[in-house]
Amino acid sequence: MKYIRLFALLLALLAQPAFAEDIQVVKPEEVGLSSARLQRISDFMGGYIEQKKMAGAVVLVARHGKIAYFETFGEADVGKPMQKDTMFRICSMTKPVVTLAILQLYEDGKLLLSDPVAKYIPEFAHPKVIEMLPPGSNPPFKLVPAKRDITIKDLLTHTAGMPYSFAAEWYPNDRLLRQMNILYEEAGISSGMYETTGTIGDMVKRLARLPIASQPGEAFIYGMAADVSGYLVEVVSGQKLDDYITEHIFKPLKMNDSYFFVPENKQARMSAVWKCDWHGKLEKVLPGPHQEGDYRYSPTFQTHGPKTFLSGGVGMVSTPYDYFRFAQMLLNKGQLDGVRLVSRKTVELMTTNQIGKLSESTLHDDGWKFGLGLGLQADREHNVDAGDVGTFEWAGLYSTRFSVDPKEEKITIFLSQTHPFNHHFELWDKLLMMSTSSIAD
Amino acid sequence: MKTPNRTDAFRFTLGSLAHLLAFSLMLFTWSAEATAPRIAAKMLGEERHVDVVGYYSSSQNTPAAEIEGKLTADLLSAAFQAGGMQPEIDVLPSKQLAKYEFVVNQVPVLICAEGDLTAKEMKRYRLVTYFLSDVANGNNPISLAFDLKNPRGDKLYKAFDKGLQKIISNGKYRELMQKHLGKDAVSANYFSRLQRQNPR
Repeated sequence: MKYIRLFALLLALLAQPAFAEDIQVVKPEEVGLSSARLQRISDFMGGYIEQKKMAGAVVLVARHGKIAYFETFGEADVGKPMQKDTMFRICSMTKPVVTLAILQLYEDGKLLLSDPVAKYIPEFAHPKVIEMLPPGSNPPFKLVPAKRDITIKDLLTHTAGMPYSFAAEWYPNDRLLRQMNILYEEAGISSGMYETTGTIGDMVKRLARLPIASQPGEAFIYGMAADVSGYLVEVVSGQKLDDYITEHIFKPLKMNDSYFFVPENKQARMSAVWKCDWHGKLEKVLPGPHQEGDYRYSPTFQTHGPKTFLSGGVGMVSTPYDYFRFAQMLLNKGQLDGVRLVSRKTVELMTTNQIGKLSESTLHDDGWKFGLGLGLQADREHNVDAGDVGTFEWAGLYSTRFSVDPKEEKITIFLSQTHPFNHHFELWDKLLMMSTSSIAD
Repeated sequence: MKTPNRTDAFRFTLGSLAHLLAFSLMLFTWSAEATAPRIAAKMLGEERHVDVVGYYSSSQNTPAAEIEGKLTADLLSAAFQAGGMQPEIDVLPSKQLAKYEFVVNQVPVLICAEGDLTAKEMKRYRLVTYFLSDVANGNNPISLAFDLKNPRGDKLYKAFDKGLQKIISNGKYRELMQKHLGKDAVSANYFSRLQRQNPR
């Protein structure tokens, strides 16, 4: 019996991921980066911690497939220094992973991007588009038939007309977003950022019965479409979303610390979530849901509550190293360490403009386009501080971000757990500029 | 062996041309049929025609509310069926949308609660409160609003009214109540109250 236990313990140990200390970090000069210039990132990030604009963060910079800079800053929790293997709620950085899952099913011949979503989720048949009537009208809106079906491509490009409920908070004068917020509240549509009962299928079927905010394909409206994609993975694959992604993405990429719901034995590695005004007032967010205007969020949705709601939009927890492996796979056009997840052509599809003349207006503005699940830098004519044309990136609501520059074969990852989200934009722009200006070949 | 003359050669050429033309036409026809459906913009499936629209809200997302919802749906179907109609019933996740379907899109019947319609709207529609749920337990009564100016609404009203009396009298109503709520959950005086509230 003793030997069986010993053997089980040994197996459990072998199953553990490589500790962060074992992850190889090369000398920056080996990959054409300047150590001295990368040091600027450390000074810069240290300043943010010192000024209590953030409690803690991790920054990773890699080039030519090798990590050249991997530093921790500040605290993960009260009295607990940030570690390289600290786990983060990556929120919307879940979306590119779910997009990849859809594209794997596409390559398997199980769906087409041009397929109507209603082919798989019948509740989406015959969508209606909401159009606001002049203020004071009763009812305040009219519903018109959609000109065409919502397609899977519309989901992956956020052109399906499905905003987030909290967008009404971001754009308080937008009556359409306010109306969508009212309908979402009535229908119990969850952003996934807090403990939610039921399954993603339950919610998506309710969402499908609501009108959409624009004609399919005609506007970039960031939001709930990724949750529909997540449920689509379940319908098409016949597996729960977390099971599918674990089997087809996390395991092949050896992303051993990535989950939807974090197992108990790893929960101590999770960073706290911090609320900050980015001017020195910093406090730890207490467990459970919090409501601020239209925005509802919780630091505990991946560890507490019913754990039945697998949000394809915001549900994942990961580490800087795990997400680096995902980003490197994309940079390598679909494969890592000899394991291919999707073809080169499919990664090209993900990373070329799919929204025509529209702009990716969530993180950026003109000059940025959207591929499938990823924002793309389309030119240098517009107001862009760093990066080459072709760079792709995305971010998460607790102030997380990643960028992949294919031209320079460079990946930059910044993970913190800081609320609210919009204050980190300046930090990110400067950080990305420093990462770019460390190129020395 | 017959030697082909000029007329035969002419016939042969004409025949070949006809075959070529037929084959080309066939090709073009096949080509048009093969590509046209993919080019034409169309919606997947037929749009559903709805006679009765209701709603549920996220705040009602409890097991008790779910049972009540199923009971209401069963009672409505049974009553309409007993009255000789089988309307298509749709339940939306938003009161605002359900009301929109009734007021703007002219769905003839709305399942609602008293107070969902404004005083002005009450004048336009026939609001009938049927107390489908167990009012003795303090639940809100359920009302049906009929658009009697809509011929289909009038027909549905008559069918439902007749059918409801029928299922109360023949015990179907009691059977459904007990199926969903359990024998002991239905108050003793409920059925006599129901008769009083919905007299023949």
